[in-house]
Amino acid sequence: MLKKTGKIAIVGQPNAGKSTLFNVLSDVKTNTSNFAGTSVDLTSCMVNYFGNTLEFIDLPGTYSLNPGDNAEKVTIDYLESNEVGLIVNVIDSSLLARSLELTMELAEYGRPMIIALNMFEEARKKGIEIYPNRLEEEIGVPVIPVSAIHGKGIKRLIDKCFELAAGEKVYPKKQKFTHHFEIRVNELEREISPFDGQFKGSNRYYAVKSLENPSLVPNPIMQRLNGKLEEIEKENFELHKTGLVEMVSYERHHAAMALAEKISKLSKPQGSSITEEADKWLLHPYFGFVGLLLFFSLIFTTIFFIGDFLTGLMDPGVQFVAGLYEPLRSSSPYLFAVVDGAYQGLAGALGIVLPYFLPLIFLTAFFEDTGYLARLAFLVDVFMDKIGLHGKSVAAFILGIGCSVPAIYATRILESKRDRLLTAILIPFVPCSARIAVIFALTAALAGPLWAVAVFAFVLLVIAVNGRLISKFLKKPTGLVLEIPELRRPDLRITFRKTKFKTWDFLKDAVPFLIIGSIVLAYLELLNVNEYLNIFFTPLLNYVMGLPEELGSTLVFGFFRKELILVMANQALGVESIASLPLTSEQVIIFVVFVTLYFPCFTTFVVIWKEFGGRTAVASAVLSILVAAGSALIFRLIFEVKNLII
Amino acid sequence: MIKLTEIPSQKRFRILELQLEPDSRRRLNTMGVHTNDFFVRENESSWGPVLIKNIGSNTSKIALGRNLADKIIVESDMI
Repeated sequence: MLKKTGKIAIVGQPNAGKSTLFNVLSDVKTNTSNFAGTSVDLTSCMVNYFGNTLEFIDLPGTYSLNPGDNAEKVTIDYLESNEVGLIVNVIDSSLLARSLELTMELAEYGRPMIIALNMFEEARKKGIEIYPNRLEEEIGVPVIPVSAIHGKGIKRLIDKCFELAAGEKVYPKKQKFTHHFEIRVNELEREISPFDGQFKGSNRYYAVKSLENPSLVPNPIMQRLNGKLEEIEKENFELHKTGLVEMVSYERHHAAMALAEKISKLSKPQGSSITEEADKWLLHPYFGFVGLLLFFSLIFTTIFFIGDFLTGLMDPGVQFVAGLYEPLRSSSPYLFAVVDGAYQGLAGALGIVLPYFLPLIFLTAFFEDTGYLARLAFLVDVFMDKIGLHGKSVAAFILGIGCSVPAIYATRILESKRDRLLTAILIPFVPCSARIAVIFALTAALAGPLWAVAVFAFVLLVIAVNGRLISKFLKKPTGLVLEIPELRRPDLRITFRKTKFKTWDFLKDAVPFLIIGSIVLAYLELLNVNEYLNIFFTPLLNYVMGLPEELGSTLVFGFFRKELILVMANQALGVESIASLPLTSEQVIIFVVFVTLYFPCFTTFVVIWKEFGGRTAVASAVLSILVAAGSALIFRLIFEVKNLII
Repeated sequence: MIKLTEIPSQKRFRILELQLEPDSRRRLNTMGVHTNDFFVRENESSWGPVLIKNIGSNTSKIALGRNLADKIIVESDMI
């Protein structure tokens, strides 16, 4: 037996359940949801099984091996540039015929393969009875029915993976096209035969790709085939009056339909689907928007009231502990700075940020799994169109409510570079969980919940205006093409598990930052360094926004993590709790508007740089600071005019 | 022959032509939208995307932006 075998790539169409399967296989929790494009990068895990080790790779979902967006390109690039020992093709059984089109392409690609028939029960409910043994005969590789979400069939799948990875390779049978077209593909295969084994894919794969997507075929092969391709193209047009792209697609589509018919039996669906009924309302041109409004109201009120309740619950305890080390302030100021800084950082993370963060990530995880986000994208497409984007960008914006970093990565699911760029420039304006915590904590304590709603409405306006203005300088958008997956009842165990892992990620990443930042600020104050920072920010804070200059140093920390602002504001203004901040409610609103819009955070800046280059990153940062300052000034002027009138 | 946007709700139709760039055509094909296939339009409104579902191959619903749907030529199914 082998001690270490090759890499096993999990490949399937979006929403087929690859990431859910991967989560079951590993202890690494990847991001899953009922929305195409949740996994935009690859994640790997090592599975140890009776002394053998296998490396599983969760690749982004792809509808075909013709990449339509950057996320899909990750999958094709991975297969082309890595030694993949085995492909696990995850199929959504309830979408059998369409899923088999990718299976056929993978078979053409010619790597050892195994098929995991996921969502077997859902297919049955839809009246599709699949016979795995028939598929095994037709495609020539093992077929294992699984239910990734319930962990059924997983042991059998792992057993088979080990058996295949360690033993003799099992290659899938290539499916035949219609007679005339098959002859042409065979001719191309023969032309390619001198290159046998030089590239990762099979000769047949490159023969078919040379017809439908020559950009995926290595140059030496294309040079050899050029004359032949022109001949086939001409012949095809004379016979069918279509291009080669359509021809290959038609052939594959019909071969997949024929295969689906051979391996399954259709019967009446079990009862009328409740989800179909629900969709009539959720996607209705009028009632859909009522649902959307209710959705956002539910999210915001839940976060606000739970967050406010938890903060209030913890506040007396936080104040009490702070009083215990107060004597150190006079007896040992340097020690006090360390203790107080560390404690304020910890108390800020657990007592101020976490109460708002928890309900937000729980609700986001819950709704991600229902499939509602795709419906949301469908509904808002009409508005997104007005700002030069389309509904699919909403996926990235929604992720941005959690954190801007995965949101920037999620732009990879957008097909055109233009849409990716515009979405990435606008994402930093979407308040992430840290900024939402700042908005809610400050407005809840000092201005009232309606102001939180007003700030969010203003942010939407900022995104709309910026999108519209920037899109004037870009070419026309491509338009929405979005799969609306079936509505699913989320498994609360998975929602809680996702919440737990995201909370742990937050605590792991944010708390050390908050504690260290808080100690550093305490020392800066002790050594009067923060005064210089405050002087630097005085023109902006004092003259533009009418805020105390002491808040200047907090903005520096906010460049790194926005949660720091809450803790730092308390420290900078010398108070123990947010409610005691010496700011008027109007000043709080101005500060919140600026903090929400200026420079997302350092990590987001780096990720934009990585994905779009330095110029875009710097332009986005400068734009956000200008927009934030301008917006804060607008609010200040509105308040001043109001005060003059009243 | 009419544009997809002109098909009424719950009406069956056949796609005749995808008057789109090759990349967009390929994209639609891979998501189960092919010429000559029969679909049903699931929604009707004078704004927003068009929602269609393939009758033959039991795929999910596909939402198509209005500008894109305007470039898809279909014929109403008489059956």
